Amino acid sequence: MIKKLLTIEMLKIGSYRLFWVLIFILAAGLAASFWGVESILQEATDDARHNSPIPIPDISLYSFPGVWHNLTFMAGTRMFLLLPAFVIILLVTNEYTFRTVRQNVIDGLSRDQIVSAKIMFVILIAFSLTLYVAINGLLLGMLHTPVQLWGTILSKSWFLLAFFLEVLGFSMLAMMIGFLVQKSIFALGILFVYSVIGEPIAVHYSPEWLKPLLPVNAIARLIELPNSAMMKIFGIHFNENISIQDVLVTLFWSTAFCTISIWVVRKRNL
Amino acid sequence: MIEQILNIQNLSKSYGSIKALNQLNLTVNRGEIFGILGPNGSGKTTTLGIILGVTLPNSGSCTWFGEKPSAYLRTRIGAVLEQPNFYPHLTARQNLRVVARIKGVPHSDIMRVLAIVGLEHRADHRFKTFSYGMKQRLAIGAALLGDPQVLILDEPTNGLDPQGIAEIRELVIRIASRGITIIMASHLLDEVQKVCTNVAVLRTGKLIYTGPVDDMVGETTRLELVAPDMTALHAAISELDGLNEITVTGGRLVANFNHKVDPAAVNKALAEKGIYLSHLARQHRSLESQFLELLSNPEKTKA
Ligand SMILES: Nc1ncnc2c1ncn2[C@@H]1O[C@H](COP(=O)(O)OP(=O)(O)OP(=O)(O)O)[C@@H](O)[C@H]1O
Ligand SMILES: [Mg+2]
Repeated sequence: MIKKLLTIEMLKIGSYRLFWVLIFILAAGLAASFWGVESILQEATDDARHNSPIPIPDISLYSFPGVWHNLTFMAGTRMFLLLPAFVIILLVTNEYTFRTVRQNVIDGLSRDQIVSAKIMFVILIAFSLTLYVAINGLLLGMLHTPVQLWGTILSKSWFLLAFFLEVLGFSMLAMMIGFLVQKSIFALGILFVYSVIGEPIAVHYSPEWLKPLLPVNAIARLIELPNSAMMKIFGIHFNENISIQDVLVTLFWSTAFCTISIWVVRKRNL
Repeated sequence: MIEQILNIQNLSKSYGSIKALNQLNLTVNRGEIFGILGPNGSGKTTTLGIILGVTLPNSGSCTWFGEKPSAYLRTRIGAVLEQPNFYPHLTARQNLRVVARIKGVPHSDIMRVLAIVGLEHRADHRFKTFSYGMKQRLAIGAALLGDPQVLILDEPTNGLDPQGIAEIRELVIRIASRGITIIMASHLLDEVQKVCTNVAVLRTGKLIYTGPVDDMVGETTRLELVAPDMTALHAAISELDGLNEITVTGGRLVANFNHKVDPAAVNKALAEKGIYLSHLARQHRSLESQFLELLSNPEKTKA
């Protein structure tokens, strides 16, 4: 059944140009920032080394195992999370615009299968994106780490899992908004306003205990800003680990978004 | 043995204050070509939407093949509801692949149905480049995938050219001759009269007639008469049982009865009164006139 539903989703995007263009922009954007930031940073540190009275240690964002944290942090910025989320919204709302959700049910899918297919597609997107980041990380790491031991290479790779959860949680939110609102423009607008303006304001005014429980904030907290050697000098310290609480809150919200999607599709005329 | 394909029980559906369907009961048996008639907004599409699982009823239920409706049962039904719904960026063939995969039908069936609806030369063109009639044809083709046991068509000839209309009519008859049950909603009464075996008539969500098409159009309820003394004829006819109305046009008197009438008995009754007819003819009525009469007469319900 999983295979059948995913095959159907793949057939739907087969020659959908807009989908592939967006995926290409995402892949190209990620690659550009991964490989481009390096040269900028290199110049900056070289510069700093010239003028600094204290010795600045050699920093590379890309040596194992730090590369996992650095790359997943870059790929997990709001801008990069919004792109796959937009893709999901487009695919969900298209089904309503084209009234194909109706036809799919008439042809023999159940309402639950309509939603399950999209859930599986979100998982597939999150997985593919994580794989893409992993491949980039592996390449960059190998180029920047003089001694490569499997232990070092893998030691912080659980940041990839956290990244997977980030994409998953955020895209599930997008999927739910798509099923609720059914119109692409409105859904895109709501997701953007909520995640970029709405929730940050809500976080600002909520009590401390509530802050980590809000969905977009929990997702953002999964991977915090990496502590670079430079920041250590200035005494700034961010969490280098992934907190179980953030993982659980993200998983909770992802499940909630799926459940609400299933419920709303069951309850409405198509 | 009569086998029930579809059974609808006490189905009701409201949209706010609008009662789209009101306690509808209906049965469709295997092999019937079942026409659903009714004015705009009478609940035809609502009925089809509910039995196909896309519209949720407020109360009532239905069974397909004697079973509770399910997604699996719908794979044995081919249906076009209101308008063709496809992915515009996909070609005809790619769109049918999606449908075939949902229905569990092999891809090899796709070219067969495209040939039936005359679209094989456009198989690899995107759906959005199709004319409306071609979209409608593709929808009918999609409904035929996998040889369904039941075909449901909501105004299937909407937007088709005269040739297309004739083709679909032939197609429907050909499909039905293979024992496939067909349920179609239509405004084209002429079409329904030519094609359907059974009809149901809806008015504002209520069933006001259901039965074989022959029963609806076959009964003679209208006689055309001429006699030397037209005044006496008019008076005598007026006294007959069950008379609805009399109209005189072109020197002929047309008597309209509200039940089946035997011309021989009328002739005898008039002769007994000393009125001898110079012309007596049955008027067969079209489904259209029956339909319009049914709708204009709120009391006459025969369900
Ligand atoms: N989504 C909807 N929201 C509100 N009212 C609706 C909706 N769909 C149908 N209706 C109402 O339900 C009633 C029945 O509509 P339906 O589409 O079933 O009629 P129909 O017999 O198919 O008409 P037509 O011949 O025009 O196709 C109408 O009064 C219509 O306005
Ligand atoms: Mg309709």
